[in-house]
Amino acid sequence: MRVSGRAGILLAAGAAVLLLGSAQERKPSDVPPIREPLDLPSFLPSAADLKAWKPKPPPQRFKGDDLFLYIDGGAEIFCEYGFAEVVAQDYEDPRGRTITLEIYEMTGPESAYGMFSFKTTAKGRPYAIGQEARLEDYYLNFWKGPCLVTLTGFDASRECVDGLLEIARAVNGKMPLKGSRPSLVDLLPKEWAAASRIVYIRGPLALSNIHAFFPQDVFLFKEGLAAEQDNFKIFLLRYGAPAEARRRFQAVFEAFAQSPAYKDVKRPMENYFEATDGRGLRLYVQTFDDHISLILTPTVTDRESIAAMFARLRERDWEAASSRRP
Amino acid sequence: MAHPIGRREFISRSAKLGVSAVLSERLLAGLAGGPGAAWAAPAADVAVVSGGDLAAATAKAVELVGGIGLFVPKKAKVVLMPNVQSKNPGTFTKPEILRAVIRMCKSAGAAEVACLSYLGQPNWDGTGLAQVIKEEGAVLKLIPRDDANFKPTPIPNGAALKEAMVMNEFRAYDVFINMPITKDHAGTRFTGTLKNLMGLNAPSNNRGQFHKPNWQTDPAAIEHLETCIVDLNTVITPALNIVDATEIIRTNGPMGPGELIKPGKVIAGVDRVAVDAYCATVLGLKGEEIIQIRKAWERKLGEIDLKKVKVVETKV
Repeated sequence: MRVSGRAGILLAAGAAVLLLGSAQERKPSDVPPIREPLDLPSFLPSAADLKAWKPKPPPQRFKGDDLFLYIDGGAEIFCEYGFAEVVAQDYEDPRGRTITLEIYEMTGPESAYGMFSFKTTAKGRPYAIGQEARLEDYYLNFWKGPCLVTLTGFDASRECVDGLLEIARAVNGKMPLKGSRPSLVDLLPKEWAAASRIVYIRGPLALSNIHAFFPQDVFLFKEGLAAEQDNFKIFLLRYGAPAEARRRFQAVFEAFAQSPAYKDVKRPMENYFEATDGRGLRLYVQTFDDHISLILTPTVTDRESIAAMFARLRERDWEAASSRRP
Repeated sequence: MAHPIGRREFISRSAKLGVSAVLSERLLAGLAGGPGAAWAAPAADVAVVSGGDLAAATAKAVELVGGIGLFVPKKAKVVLMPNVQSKNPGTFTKPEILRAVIRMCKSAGAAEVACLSYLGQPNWDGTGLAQVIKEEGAVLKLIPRDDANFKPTPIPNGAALKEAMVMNEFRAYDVFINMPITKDHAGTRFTGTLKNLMGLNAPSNNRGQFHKPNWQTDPAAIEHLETCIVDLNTVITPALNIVDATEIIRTNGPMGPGELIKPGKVIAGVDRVAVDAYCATVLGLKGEEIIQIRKAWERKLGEIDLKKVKVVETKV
């Protein structure tokens, strides 16, 4: 559906007002933790904890905005998820090779899980370290309680991988932490729970890294989930209340309808519309309860199949999951 | 077919390249062949060279865009800006590429070849680039982050950024060669030649101006950042861009660790927009999908349509 002329101008202005007016609805994720800060250096393994790896002092430590001094352009995504403090320590083997250990204290277990899901890939091998761990070619991530732990090695050799695992297990043994992953993850249908990639998202940076819908943040969601499986990507974006989700859905529809980047925008029902982007990717968008759901696929899919997928998303135990909301 | 260009046309082209590429008469005299010589037009606008020998690939890429003599006159002071943000694999410019460029500049008769950086010694040591600089007789100048070491630089046509804070030391150099690695970036999805210039801008300006005060809640924050990057590029123009696209991260940029891909390419060109548009394709993206590339094209800083520029791909 294309809207042109004066009506288009009014709609665009209306969408802009909604966007501006809604800017206050998103709150930063850097909410201070309500518990005592952790003693991160106490989690660092000493030489006695390891066979051949020795720490190369001193460790580095950064809190709050000082994260930008440590990882400059890479800090924003941590802030979006909710960051408190990081400690980083290099470990060296007798041949002078280095593994870098970073322990990030996030603002809570959901933030730690979120950052873990953002940084890991479907190609990573799962390991029983922390609450979840993934080993990629030359690096390993795990999360435990409010902490995300990242170990970066030097190559994909057996020696490097053994070093990563040894140090990871030593860190894990020193961390008496636990926490729950976001309840939103439980809202995924069973067949999507083993999806090739599931990312918990807390804001527009994470969303745009998975799929860049617009140059601006149109969705203004509270929290969300993205999952990729086969030829499909699905997004569940949660809002504070059903009324808010419906309002936002209207603004999202108008953004799609007004954008030259999308065509064939059709809204056959009040709570549902579809569109096609410049690459031919089909988008199907629905609002239900306090969510907006999106399904993306490069292949033309019949409406019945899409409706069935949305129905599966609605069937989940909303009541039980909602009762566990923070 | 190549056509020779005279000195008058070269000066005209150089003036369009910006402050950092305009050369004095003394330096013009030092260009290969002297001031009265004619030069053949380069074989490529964007040179893309593959091959395991990174030094040879780098040399070939520069040759295809005109040869180092076109950019570095005798006795010039040259500043190079490789990326040393992180020592994680696929996140920093390869030492072999830096070494090759230093050697080319020296063979062209440069009086000094330097790297300027407000990042610390550990960044340069951890990437191996400090060692290369030392071995090749180049200079590494570490600039403290204080604003006193950066000069306010008005941006007359800035859409979002009205003033940059450019490194004082940068102005002491005659030629600027931009040497980023292209890779994923969590903030902007992509980084290449345009974004690398933030390394010359004061950290306080990068943090305070490129990011809106309420960047975590403002829906327009991402676009604002990318607009500022383009604004900065209107007042700083490299003479040449040489991009490491050999082994790069496709995820978790800019710091990594992330998924490594190995396109094995060294890319060179004067037109930053065209070079970045090509680099975007290496990461599976299109130039027009990246806000900073599209805005730079809209502001006429270069060409985004790769069909309209001469892209030459070859192997060594």
